[in-house]
Amino acid sequence: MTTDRVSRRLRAAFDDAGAQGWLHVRELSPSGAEVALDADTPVALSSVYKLPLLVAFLRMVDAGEIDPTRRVTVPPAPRTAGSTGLSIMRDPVTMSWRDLAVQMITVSDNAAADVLLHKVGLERVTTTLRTLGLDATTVTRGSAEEIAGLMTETGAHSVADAFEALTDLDHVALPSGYDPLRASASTARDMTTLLAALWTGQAASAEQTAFAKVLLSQRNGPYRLRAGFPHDAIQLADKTGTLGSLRHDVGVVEFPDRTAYAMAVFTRSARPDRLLPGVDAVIGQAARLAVDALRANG
Amino acid sequence: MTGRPRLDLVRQIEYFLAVVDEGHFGRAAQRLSMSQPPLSQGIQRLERLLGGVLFVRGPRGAELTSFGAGLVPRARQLLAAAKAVLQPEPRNRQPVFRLAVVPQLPRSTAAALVEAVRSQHQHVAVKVLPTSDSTASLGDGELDAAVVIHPALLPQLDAGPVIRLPRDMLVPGGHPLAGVPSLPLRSLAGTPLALEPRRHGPAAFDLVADLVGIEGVRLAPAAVTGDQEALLAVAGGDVMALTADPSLHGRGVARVALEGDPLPLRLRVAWPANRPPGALADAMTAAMERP
Repeated sequence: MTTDRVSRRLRAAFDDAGAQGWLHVRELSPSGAEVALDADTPVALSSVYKLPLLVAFLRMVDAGEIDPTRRVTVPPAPRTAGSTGLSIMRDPVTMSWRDLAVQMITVSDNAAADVLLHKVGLERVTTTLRTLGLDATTVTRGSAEEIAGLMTETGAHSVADAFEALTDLDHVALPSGYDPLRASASTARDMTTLLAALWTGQAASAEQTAFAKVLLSQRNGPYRLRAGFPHDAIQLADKTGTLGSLRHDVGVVEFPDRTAYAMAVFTRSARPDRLLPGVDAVIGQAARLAVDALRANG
Repeated sequence: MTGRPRLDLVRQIEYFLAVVDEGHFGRAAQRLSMSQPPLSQGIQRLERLLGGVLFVRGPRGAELTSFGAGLVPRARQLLAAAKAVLQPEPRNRQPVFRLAVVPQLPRSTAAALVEAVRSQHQHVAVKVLPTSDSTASLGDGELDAAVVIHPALLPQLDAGPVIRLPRDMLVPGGHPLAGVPSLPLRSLAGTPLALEPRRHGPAAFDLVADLVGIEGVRLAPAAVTGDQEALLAVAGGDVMALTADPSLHGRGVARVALEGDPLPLRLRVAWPANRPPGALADAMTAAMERP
């Protein structure tokens, strides 16, 4: 299939789902065959920023700067709001640094992520990104700042009200969390670069790489990339991001024949509804279209 | 690649885009009414200038490399800018304001809108276009503003606030509830609802389909575009349809107000992000909100 034909089919799929889409899929092989759709346009990351943060954390573990088994106590306040994990717990929680990473990735725990970000530091995340050749990615803030911004911008008095404001059909909200110039942002291509570095062992030690792969394959969340690869025999390790009309998923799919693909799909829906299973599904469908085109050509 | 742009760059970019669009060197040469060798040489010079390979020649023609794909958006910008340089500047004549409205916009509201535009632009050209066509034309620079149905994808566009126009249901005159002035949507669940074609705006279509589905209303297999088609389809006796035009009546068709106005016509004035209409945007929205 020609590049143009794949692009047209991808655009048609996103249009039909009522979402704008950005996509990059690359084969994890020396050929590095790829499919791209607006893959170099920066998009606000929402919770996908937790993936670069994880990689920065792993590299500090490798460098001996963090003892991953050391236990930390997270007090109930201040604690970042969210819908999972420590964010919804009421009492002090004590767990190891690496278990905070488990929380951050498997259930996208905002509170755990911010504790880790405080330890790792934005500067260190940026250094990690540049070292790995991700020049279009900026991690500018964690979940707490994103949520605080959202509350100010929507004029809401509670976190719940702020998120509710994003779903208002009659008053279109444009929080800074949608803005790649103000929020943490990346391109689809940069995200597959990061995944490829992680998967090929260039981002961290063998031990920490294995740890990351397990976390990313144990994730709980909506079926996005998975919707395009619906079989137990296809392995998926991924990280989603969701904020209002932004729905993202970045990950690695491995087929039974061992061929693997790094993929990043970002979407922004026209409808503000909190639940849009059709948009979740088009993320997988678009990635599958791209992978099928690569497999047909390869 | 830095340095001064070369004189023949625009021509090489034109060659490059022709090959991108045609996917084939031979067809690109045909389109440019030239032979293939100078086209190939032009592309090769561009590749040397940029320091990267733009196309891979395969069995199915010329395929863009990722390096080439990265050049496409900037190449299109350059060619568009070059064409703009050649356009004569209009003299002593205010340009025509090109406006589009959706077919569901009530006629009186459309007239008020055009009047508002006329107060600031002497010449107005109005088209009736579905949302999908308008957003594409705005993106291509063929329109200055458009009234579109919300929610819709608006990439590279900006838009004003959401305007809600109440919508009634048109039901066949023989419908058992035809005489009742106001009803919950659910009580009309027996009659299929005809909507405009989904391709005109998948997001807005799905929103209405989801909302009426909750109330047990089925969608009719055939679509209707605009009030005229809606009225005729309902007069045909098998479907019901929505209208935002309070003056729309016809023999064999009854109007029923829906309790709580659950399915208003949601509209926005949209425009290209790089060419905002300024104060006129507010004036257009205000004109449509006036009862």
